[in-house]
Amino acid sequence: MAALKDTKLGKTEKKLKKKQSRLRRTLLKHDGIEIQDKPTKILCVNNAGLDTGVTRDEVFEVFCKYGETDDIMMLPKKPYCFVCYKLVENAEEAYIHLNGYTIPATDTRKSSCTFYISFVSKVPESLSPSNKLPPGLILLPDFISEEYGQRLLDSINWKEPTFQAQQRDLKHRRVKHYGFEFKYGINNVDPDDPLPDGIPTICNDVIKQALQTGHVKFTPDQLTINQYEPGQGIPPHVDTPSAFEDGIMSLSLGSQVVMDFRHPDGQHLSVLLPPCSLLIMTGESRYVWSHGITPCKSDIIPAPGGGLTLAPRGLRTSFTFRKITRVKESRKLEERDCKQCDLENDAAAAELEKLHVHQVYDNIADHFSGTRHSPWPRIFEFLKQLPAGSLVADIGCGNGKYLGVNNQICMIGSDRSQNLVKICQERNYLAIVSDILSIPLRTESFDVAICIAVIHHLSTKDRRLRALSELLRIVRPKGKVLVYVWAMEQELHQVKSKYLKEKHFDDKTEQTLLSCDQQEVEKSAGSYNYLGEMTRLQSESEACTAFIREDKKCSATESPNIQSFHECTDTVESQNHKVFTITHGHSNKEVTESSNKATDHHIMVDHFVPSSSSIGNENACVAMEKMVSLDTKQTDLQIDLVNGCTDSQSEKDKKKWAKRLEVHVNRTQFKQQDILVPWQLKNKNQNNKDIKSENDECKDANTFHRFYHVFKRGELEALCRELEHCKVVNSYYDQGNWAVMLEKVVEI
Amino acid sequence: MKLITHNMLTSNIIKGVTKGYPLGIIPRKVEVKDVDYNPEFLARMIPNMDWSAVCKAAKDVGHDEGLPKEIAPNFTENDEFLKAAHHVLLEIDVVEGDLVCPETGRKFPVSNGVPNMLLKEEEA
Repeated sequence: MAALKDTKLGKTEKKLKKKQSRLRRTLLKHDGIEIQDKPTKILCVNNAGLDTGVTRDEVFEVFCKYGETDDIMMLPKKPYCFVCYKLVENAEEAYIHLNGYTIPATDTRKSSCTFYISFVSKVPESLSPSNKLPPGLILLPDFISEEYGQRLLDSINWKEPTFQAQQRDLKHRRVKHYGFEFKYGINNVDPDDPLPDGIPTICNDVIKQALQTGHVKFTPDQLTINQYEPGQGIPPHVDTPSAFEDGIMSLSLGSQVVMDFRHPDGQHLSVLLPPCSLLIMTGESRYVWSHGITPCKSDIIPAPGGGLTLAPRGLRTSFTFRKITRVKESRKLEERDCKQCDLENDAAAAELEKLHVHQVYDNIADHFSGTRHSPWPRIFEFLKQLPAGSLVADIGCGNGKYLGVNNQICMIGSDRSQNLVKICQERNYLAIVSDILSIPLRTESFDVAICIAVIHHLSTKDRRLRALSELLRIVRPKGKVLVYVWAMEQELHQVKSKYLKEKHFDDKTEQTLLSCDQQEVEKSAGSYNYLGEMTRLQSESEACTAFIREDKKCSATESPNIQSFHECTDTVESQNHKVFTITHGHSNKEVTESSNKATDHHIMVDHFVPSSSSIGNENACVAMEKMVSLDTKQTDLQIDLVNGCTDSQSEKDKKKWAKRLEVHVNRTQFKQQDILVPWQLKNKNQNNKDIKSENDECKDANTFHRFYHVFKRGELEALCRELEHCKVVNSYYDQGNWAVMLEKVVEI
Repeated sequence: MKLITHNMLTSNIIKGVTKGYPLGIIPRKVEVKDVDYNPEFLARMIPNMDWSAVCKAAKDVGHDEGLPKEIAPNFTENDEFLKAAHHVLLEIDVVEGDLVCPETGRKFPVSNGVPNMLLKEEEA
């Protein structure tokens, strides 16, 4: 009978079943929620989520006919929503009538949506507040008295803005600015354009009290008051890193609200902000995690007697105190657009590169090399698909990580650093020491030249042009040149970088990554034993793997994003993806007050247990570094650089450059195109006990600063257009880099 | 430095030097290392080589005995030729020595198997 019944299922019913089982899998996988066979109060409605363009109001309109709802929960970026009825019967009724219901298209939603409904016993856990906070987040409940809170609320005059730029009604909330206007168009404040009204004096006590906690180092000079009606929210965002200092305070008044914190790797923590509480975002929670408020009319909060309950939202007002950054020098530099930073002539440029590129790479070669073993995927693919027998030059080959990826082609590497070339030689690769401005390779003899992460080390436009021209010279007509440079824009189309996504990894993915690498290497030429090398690295470096990648956060759109390959500054120790240490070595008598803050972060390894799973995996390293460098957030300052060199003239020169070039801070937006990026060299002789007693000079001796000119969008292509016989066949953005594929055009 | 690398090197980066090719070799230490023979790879590589420069380099390092002076017409199928090419291009390794610019006599050192082709500022 049962079989007979099944065959009688209509087409629509079958479709519904199919859709339901798909949703069952999705829900279980992403939210850990099991679909119930028996009716419950809560419906999960697929295709009625924000991701499908359906609004909360639409859902309400359709579902309210079948009974009173407690709430309708719309989750960002999900195709489904949750409808919570007061009674199971109502939910069942709605299920019967609406499963398979199609909501027509609207002006804003181009296509119609068919709802597929399932019963669930709970909503995703991420919707209920957690006790866990993102690293660096401080929540101080009952920070001020209700009475003081009320006085603060009463002091806001929404009706009469004293100054036009001060108050705006945004789509989903109402805002008022003091001190400086946060200009939403540019996602920034203009330090030269203060508002007539500073932070009202009534806030002084809050500020004073907040500073006393020690969590905030800067006295705020900007206040934004946001007011949210129930059902209003704010999209996930990161406060523009370059606009405000670390330590952003938000005082909640009126109703409670649940704030969602999301890490780019997908972690999601909901934090309940009770009235009169102060939230302080510092470090990772300020720079990496986005925060937002889901538009809801209620929040799921812990019930007094245990369990969870639904609390309706009321009017909530938040006072956000921030300290704007003042970097006038770099702003000016930025305004000068693509012009090189003030380098008088080519000789000076060469000297800068000598001190801050060539010498640095020679000094850090071993350490640097130990961190670079995975080819960047797109370049790897490009080399893999070249016809057998292709002759390829890798200019700026570093430790030769691309030289062995395809044993059917012949690759010759060249690098300015003798120590890096020595590593290539030891790996049995063909490599020479030469300068990109004078490549000693035959003209028109190579099928392909690649130049990865090199040209950004040249300090004038003229020199960058000459480098490109040299690359073109050595390739045959119709030959290709692939160039990668580091991008000023570290975020594009709000796409989360691979870099960020890589942060979270479990043993399984790690193994997969490892075995992939292994296969690739095994397939490739040469006798270089990758796994062996990894083991060696692990034992030799006893504590450490550092990185290749520098991560920057750019946030033109006030949303989180950090990415990129490249070099980095931190030495990181790891144990099963947990970072224990970092060193940031700038301590100097001349360092100003705020960079003294950085010296507070001279924390080095307390414990290190070598972990086979986390060493030798670049992804792991990158992940660790990402976590770490936030903790060592420093202020951009022009500080004196000590590169462990004793030559007094060099010292003088270094100081000269240091005065002109800013030292870049990890995980912050590039403030100018010409920068110095620190590399923290691990000292093998240090052991755990010594580390804490190390004096500052020792630490400084291990910090090296490399010069970079980061490229703006279009700059690389524009440069290429100035060259003869050069056709840009492709240009793209790849993980924080701008890339071009050039073809040498045949002369007719 | 393998001779395959040498074959691609030039000193035309020196100011005033037009061709700078081929570079002379003054060997001080030359090693011969076994490398797996891959006839397909060699067959594809031979056309990229300047064969007269290969011969000259082989002579400079004293390993030109029995090396064909010209590329065999049917080299892709000529195992004997490919083996000779394999040996001269991939197995001979100049560990220590100098490379000499044919036009100016400027020497570039080869040490630990790595040619250093860096110029002084005034030379470029």
